[in-house]
Amino acid sequence: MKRIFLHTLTIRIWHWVNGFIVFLLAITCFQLRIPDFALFGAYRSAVLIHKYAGYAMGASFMFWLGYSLLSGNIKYNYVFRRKDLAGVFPQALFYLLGIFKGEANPFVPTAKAKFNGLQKIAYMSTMFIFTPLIIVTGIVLSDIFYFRTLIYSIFGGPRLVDAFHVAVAYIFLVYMIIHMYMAIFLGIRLSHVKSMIFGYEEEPEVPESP
Amino acid sequence: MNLFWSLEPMVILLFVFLCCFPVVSHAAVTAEECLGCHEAYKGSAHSELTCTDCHGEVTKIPHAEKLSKPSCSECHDDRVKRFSSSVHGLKGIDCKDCHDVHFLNKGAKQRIDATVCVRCHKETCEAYVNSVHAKKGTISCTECHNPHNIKVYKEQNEKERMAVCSRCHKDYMEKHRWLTNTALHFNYLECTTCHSPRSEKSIVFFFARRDGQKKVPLTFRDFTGILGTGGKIGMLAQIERDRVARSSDIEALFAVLQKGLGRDLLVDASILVTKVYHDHSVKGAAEESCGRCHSEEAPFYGSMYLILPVQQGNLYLPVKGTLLSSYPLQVVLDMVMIGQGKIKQADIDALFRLGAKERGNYVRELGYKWIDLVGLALLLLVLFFVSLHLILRVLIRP
Repeated sequence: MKRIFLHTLTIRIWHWVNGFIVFLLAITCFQLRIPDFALFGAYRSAVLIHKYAGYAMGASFMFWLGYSLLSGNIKYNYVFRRKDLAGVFPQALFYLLGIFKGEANPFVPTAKAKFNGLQKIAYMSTMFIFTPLIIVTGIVLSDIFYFRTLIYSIFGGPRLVDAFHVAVAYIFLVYMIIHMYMAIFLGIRLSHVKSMIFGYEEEPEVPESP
Repeated sequence: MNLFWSLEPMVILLFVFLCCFPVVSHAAVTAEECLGCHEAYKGSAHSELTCTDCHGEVTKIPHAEKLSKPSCSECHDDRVKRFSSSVHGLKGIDCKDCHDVHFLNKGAKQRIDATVCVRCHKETCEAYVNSVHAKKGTISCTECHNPHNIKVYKEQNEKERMAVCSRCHKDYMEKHRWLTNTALHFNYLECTTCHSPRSEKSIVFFFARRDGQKKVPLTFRDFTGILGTGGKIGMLAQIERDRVARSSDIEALFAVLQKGLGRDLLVDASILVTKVYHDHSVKGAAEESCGRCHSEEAPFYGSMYLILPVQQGNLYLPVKGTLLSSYPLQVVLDMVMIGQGKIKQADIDALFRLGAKERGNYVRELGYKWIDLVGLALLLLVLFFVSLHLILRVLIRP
């Protein structure tokens, strides 16, 4: 087994903090949408936690964006290139069939190229489309009177802002389920989870071709 | 000797007589003499006055059997003025109907208590005695309501109604910080809306004009200024007679008013308590659910009114027909209170239970609920797929 350094300390701390925020938002959103699902007892607690966790997610995203722009994280790991496209189909085929046959993962991460094509599609859409959209709609919904002009000129009314927010929330939930499943069960002995704690991921040695 | 000096004794006599006349006149019937018969009145709040200060017509004893009504405004001018424009005054209630003027100091009735109010407000008092306020010692109605300038509940705007509660509950904004869009909610709601569930709530529509970011309700003067009729809003005569506002009436009125106000005119809406139940004991989670108001099942959808300002107060006209559907999309979208429905177990059951044709109609009627429906279906599908993947990985070990 070889150890590859994948995640800096900053990214690891950000990941778990952000994960905790998203977890809070996800469980409170169920009570907000289905009031009978009273995980927090009082409805007001769910509203408050959701509101402040939402602000925290906004701050967390801004931090990630700033850090990723400066450190090159976006340049190396998020920009989707032609070669990434070529890897998408083999990667999907590996998860659907190859993994059951014991085939090796077609993508081996390195410090400067952490994500495969499928991951890039998932993370790019999450970080550059869905996260900004859910944060902006959430902030706007927190004071619809103050953001009145914005609501009508861009979104077309408060009901539509709400619709966007809820629709993106479901996409986030789907993302979370798949992300957690893949992180926990598709690595070798929790290697993906460990890499997000210690920074290094253990990968099987691939014999060099002669 | 001139004429004056010759009449000197008579002039002096006349001067003495004129000086003594008022004293002689009032002194004709003293308080002691009155109390000789009306002993029970001794020591009233008005005891610094003599009886004849109010009952000036009594100049001798025995006096006429029926005395005219004393004028309270001679001493209590401001209060009587305010009272005469209050609902109590307008309904012809007299000072003595509540105040036992002869016994003010004797029966501890310096302030009006519930035993007085209950004579007219029996139902209200019965509801109130079981409320948290009564149990915590706020016994007197006057601690919250000033009977001298009280308005009919419907004539008070939200701010006036809130002022009753906020005299004690000063920190109400802080206590409701948890509520998203706190200030906006309080622009449209009042304390009673949530804290007295048995109060009747209605959606009220009213004509307003935009003034910057504010929406200012049109007054009677605004109406007459635009419609150009004297004391009566001629255009509304039919509506007033029918006591019902139809969508077509409102649209016609809107068109006429728009000629005067242009794009600044709008029909605004608010949730208003139209019949108050005087028990405000409910607080906490029971009412705290967005869906209680932001859903089609909200209680106030069964009770809609159009408020039209008239010369004295407002006219509440029950609204018939699907009023909202007659408005342009932009106006309906503005009514945030309609909100989004949330999917319920019954909706999901209905989709499985109904036939293909009915199911299509049902889905169309779901409105924005389909987001939840598709979202939940997607979540279940993904969970199923992920579970299947996991099970297969355990079963098929390479």
